[in-house]
Amino acid sequence: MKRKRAVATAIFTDVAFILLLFFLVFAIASQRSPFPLDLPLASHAQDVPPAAVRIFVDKNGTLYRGDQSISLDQVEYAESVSLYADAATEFSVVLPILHRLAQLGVPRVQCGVEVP
Amino acid sequence: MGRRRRQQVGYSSDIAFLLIIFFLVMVGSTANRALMIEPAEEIPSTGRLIEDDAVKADPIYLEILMDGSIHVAPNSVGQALSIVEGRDVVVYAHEGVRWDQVVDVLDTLSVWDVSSIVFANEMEEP
Repeated sequence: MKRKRAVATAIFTDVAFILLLFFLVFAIASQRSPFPLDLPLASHAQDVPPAAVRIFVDKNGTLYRGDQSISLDQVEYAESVSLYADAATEFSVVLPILHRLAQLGVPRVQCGVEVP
Repeated sequence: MGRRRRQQVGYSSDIAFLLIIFFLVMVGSTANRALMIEPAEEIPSTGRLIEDDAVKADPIYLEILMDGSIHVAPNSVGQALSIVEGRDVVVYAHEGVRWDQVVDVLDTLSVWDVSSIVFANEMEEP
């Protein structure tokens, strides 16, 4: 009888650890961009908490919110927005996004970069 | 037998803890690094501002050329950067300028604590 109880406890801790690991892996995966992204380098970047809205822009100018491809009109207001554009993206593609965010009154835009 | 089982459970929990620490470190290493900007609104294709209050008087005008070099009107880069602190900046990038070239400028401006930036579609002569 005692043996059975000991085994049951061990299973619970294993399940708890697996759940913890699952959520950690999920948290990491959700931070990643939906495509390989070569961020521009900036030596004076700050460590910032993740923004509520994360917009990714690929080299061709396609916008993504999370995994979903969106149009410029679908960019919505948020207190802070993270903008991750590929270093090779033409600025003429990024400019309308910045203007859209300004029009929406987004007070702060975090331009995602890498520190060299 | 009972001892062996306890030892096995102990080992697996140790490994699980190590894995958790590994993933936590991974999350920390992939933390967000960003340049903060406060984009101000402008009238498209004119470079003029909708609200006069959006930009303080006498902003600095930076022009990014296609090769990534910067033209500052009307002062030299050195003069402009020495007085740029506390002023708003209007950035105009020529056709073909890449995002990383603009980020270079934003990176330099962040040293002088300039974050309020207007991105102009066209540059008017100041």
